[in-house]
Amino acid sequence: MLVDAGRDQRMRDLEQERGVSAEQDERLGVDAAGDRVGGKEPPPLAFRPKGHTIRSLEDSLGFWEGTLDVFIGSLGTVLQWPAAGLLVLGVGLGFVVGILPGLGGAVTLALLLPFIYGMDPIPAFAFLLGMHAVVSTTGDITSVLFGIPGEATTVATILDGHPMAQHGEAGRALGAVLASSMLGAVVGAAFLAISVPIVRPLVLAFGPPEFLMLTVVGLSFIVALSGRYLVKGGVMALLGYALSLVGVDPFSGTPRMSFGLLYLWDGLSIIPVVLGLFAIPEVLHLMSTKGSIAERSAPAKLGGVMQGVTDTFRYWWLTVRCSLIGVAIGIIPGMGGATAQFLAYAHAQQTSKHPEEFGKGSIEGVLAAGSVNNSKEGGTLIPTVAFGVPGSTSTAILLGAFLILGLVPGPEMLTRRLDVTFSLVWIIVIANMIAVAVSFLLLRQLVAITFVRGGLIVPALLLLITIGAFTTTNDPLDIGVMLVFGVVGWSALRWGWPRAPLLLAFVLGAISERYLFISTQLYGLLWLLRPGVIVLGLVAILGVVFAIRRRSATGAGAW
Amino acid sequence: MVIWRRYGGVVVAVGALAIFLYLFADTQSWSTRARLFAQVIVGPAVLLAAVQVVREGGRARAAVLMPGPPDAAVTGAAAAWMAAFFGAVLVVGMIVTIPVFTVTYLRVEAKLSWLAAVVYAAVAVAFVWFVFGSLLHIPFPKGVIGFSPPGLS
Amino acid sequence: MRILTILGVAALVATACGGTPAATTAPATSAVAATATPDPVAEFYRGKTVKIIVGYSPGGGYDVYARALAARIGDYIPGKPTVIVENMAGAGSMKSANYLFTAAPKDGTEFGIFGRGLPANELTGQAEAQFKSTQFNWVGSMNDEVSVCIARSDSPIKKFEDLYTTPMKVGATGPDDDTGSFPRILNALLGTKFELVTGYPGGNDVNLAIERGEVQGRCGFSYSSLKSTKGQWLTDKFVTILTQMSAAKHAELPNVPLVMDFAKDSDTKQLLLVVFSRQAMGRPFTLPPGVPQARVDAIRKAFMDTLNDPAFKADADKQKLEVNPRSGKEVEDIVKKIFETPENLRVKLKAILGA
Repeated sequence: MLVDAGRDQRMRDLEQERGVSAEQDERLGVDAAGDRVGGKEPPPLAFRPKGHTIRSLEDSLGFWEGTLDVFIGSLGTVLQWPAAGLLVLGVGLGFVVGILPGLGGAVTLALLLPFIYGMDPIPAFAFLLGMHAVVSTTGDITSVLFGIPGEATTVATILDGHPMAQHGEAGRALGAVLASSMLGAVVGAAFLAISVPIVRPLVLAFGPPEFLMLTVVGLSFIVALSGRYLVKGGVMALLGYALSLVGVDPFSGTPRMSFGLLYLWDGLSIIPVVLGLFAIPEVLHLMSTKGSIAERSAPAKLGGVMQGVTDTFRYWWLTVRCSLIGVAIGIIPGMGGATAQFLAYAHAQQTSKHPEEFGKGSIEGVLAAGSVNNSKEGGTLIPTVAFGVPGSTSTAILLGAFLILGLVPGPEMLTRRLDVTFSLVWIIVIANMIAVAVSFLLLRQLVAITFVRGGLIVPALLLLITIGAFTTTNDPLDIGVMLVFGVVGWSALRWGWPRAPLLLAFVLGAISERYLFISTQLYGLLWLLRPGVIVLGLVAILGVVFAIRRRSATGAGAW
Repeated sequence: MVIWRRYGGVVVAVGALAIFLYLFADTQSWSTRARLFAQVIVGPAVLLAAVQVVREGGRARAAVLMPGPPDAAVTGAAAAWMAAFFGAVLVVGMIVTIPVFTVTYLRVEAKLSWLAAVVYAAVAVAFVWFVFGSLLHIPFPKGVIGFSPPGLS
Repeated sequence: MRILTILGVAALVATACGGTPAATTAPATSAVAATATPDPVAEFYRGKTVKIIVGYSPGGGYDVYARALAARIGDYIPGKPTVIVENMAGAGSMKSANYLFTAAPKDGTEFGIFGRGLPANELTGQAEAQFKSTQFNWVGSMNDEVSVCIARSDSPIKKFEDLYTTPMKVGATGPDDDTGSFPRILNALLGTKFELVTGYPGGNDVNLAIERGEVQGRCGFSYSSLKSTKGQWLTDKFVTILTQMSAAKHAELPNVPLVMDFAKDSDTKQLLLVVFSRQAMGRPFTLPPGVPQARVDAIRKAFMDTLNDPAFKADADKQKLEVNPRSGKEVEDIVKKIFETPENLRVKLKAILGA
């Protein structure tokens, strides 16, 4: 808590120095962006404490030294009152919101937004981001224990986490999910921090054609997610694609499949869809089995938590890879966490030595899902901070917070307000440290719930998912959509149709259509010849070929 | 129920096929740009769904039964409870449904004591009222003939 | 025991949520002299909650304006009701406009803000618009927005006239949004050669596209948000403002030509006025029709008083919100004027926008 005054003074000096040089720097950044059309550009450095271009090694060292000072200084600010208090409060809220099914992080952010009027930036972000950074961590807990997603970003955790809980291995699954969440959060935050000098050219290097191809790479994972039968997976994916078309199309303004309802003009929201597909069938299952969630009467002891933690480090390379997938997907505007989880999960399955265990309680699947949904937090903030282009629904709302606080996302956040950007990094890390520590303390109680008779928690669950669906747009039709997808989800579960491809295609469908149209409007068919597009296209093709060969080789599935 | 276990798979596959056919029909009224993408996917979609219908049909003809739920009546009862809950939310509104459903369900299905059920319901209502009504001012599913008590919108 | 666990979780929720700093949103108790004589309007509002319905999601421009207003206006409405904001996003705010017109209580406890372009949707006969703009009790507008067309300074387009001969790619979020409809209207009425690239997920994505250089500009960018989000584009001369679209010039842009000045005949000029006069009611608030006149007057007065409150102005400055109030009467006149468009021009406009 105690930050020495000297450091503060240095920060203020830096601030002033930068205030003078900022304009110059920013212009450089923009000019460089302009040059990109012509081809080569000098890599624009986001932040130069000396106010000059880097010419020598000495200058370069000065740059890093100055940045480091700001970096450490912002930790001090985060740990100061009132930021620290608000951070704890935010984490507390996020903890609960994450655990409660239905109530999602994005909706909660929107609800909390009005509270930050009049706050300073860093305390305000400590509150908002502190809340949001942990919802995926504790949402994983709900996914493991109940098979009901605590968040839209923790659906993949169910696929293997819940089977583990049903086999009485809840402790191990939770240990793994929490440890990998922590690791994921650190990787994501670290990436956000080190990307500061390169973030603008990095994001500018990707245009609509490359974004499009990234969605195609994402779609190629459907093969891996299709479970036993490829045809069923394909049908579900195409169904997801069809559903993503619902709403007014952004090219000619035609309402598509909207049944004349204004409600459907904006398309289907992901929350009611996820709740319907995954929560409703599970609640129904809970209502119709008289027993508790943990079906095998495994000892109620909290065995295996440490084993789960050890697993995280035993598979550390997998955890890190999946964290990086989260960051990468996070950076792409519009993809967001709901996609990243499945890509990481599918990646884990494809690279696993035991792909046949996936879906039945594979620890690797749990680790992939646990790490990715936390690392994406850092990733989605990168385009938000650097360009004001939100990487996900939640960051779109956080963008509103920037507006309210009078901050301007863009080069300014990488120069004059670098302290705020770095504070975001610290907030993610500290918030997750608190949440994971508290989770470990409460694990015994949480696991005990899975041994409670199912009937007792049913009314609470119904209440929560109803509120969760309804708060999406405050329309009774939100509940209607959830129920329709409840029927779809239940039928899919009952007759063995995989739900993950549907959700993945639903999220990717709309943005791939957008980027396809933008690309064609911009470049005709020439976009196909861009090097990035070709590389990513090959990745997608190889991915599909590899996945299919692997399926037949391991006998993990049929057509 | 045996019929359902035998032909359910066909019904689901036909359902998927029907959705795609509806999509195809609906695209006819869209502008060229709006339907381009849909038309690209609708062909493979109909094809794949049709393949699946044929396969499920084959399975049904061979009288392959899906493993049934442990007790179909229980599943039916659970679905009925759920339908009652959501029906009530949409008709009389959330704030009436929560206490009534909670107490009834806990008494009948979970065999909880009156006291515990009432306390449970009271906590649920208080939670909703306080957090969503007074603190966050979120509108609530009012229901078609529902009423909104003071403090809740 | 098990029950206790569950109740414990519920209690945790309640306490955790209860701890949020609710105080920050409580209206400041700045002194407004209470009237001594019993005032029926004050009697009505005392102890009540007034809702401001926002037709967009939280954090957007309209929402930020509405919340800034909500934080202060309670003190100026007689009887000092509690004022809260409720978001009703959907169909580009059409949902909320329909709601305000048809379903909202007509007693003055709810008013709202929706897209400034909606009256034009009604004018051109969009079936989904279930409201009559002229029957709304307009409260006023918080800002008159001037919308501009910008082009990258390194593009061949240096001034508006260049657009007659040289095509320019502009990014848009959708064909009927400002960014899409404005260039289409200018193409149709003035013969400019904007090439629309539509489908970007949001205005910020269009800006990013300009930075990447895949489009050269954007037509339909509110000057106030250009200043607040991309101010350094202007200071660095990264972009050039080609024209400003509104009924009158922005005070800070005396040398940028007004779009009306390019009209060659009076019909074109009038159509441009119909389309762009909405800018003068940039952040329009309205009460539903049928609210008692005394309450309409009270809300209108409270609206203007709030916007002139120094404390409010300080809030707005901090958030970089541009505030140029227009009274309810002024907004009403603008709307009236829009609906005085002769039938032949109305048809023409419909043809342009429907294309």
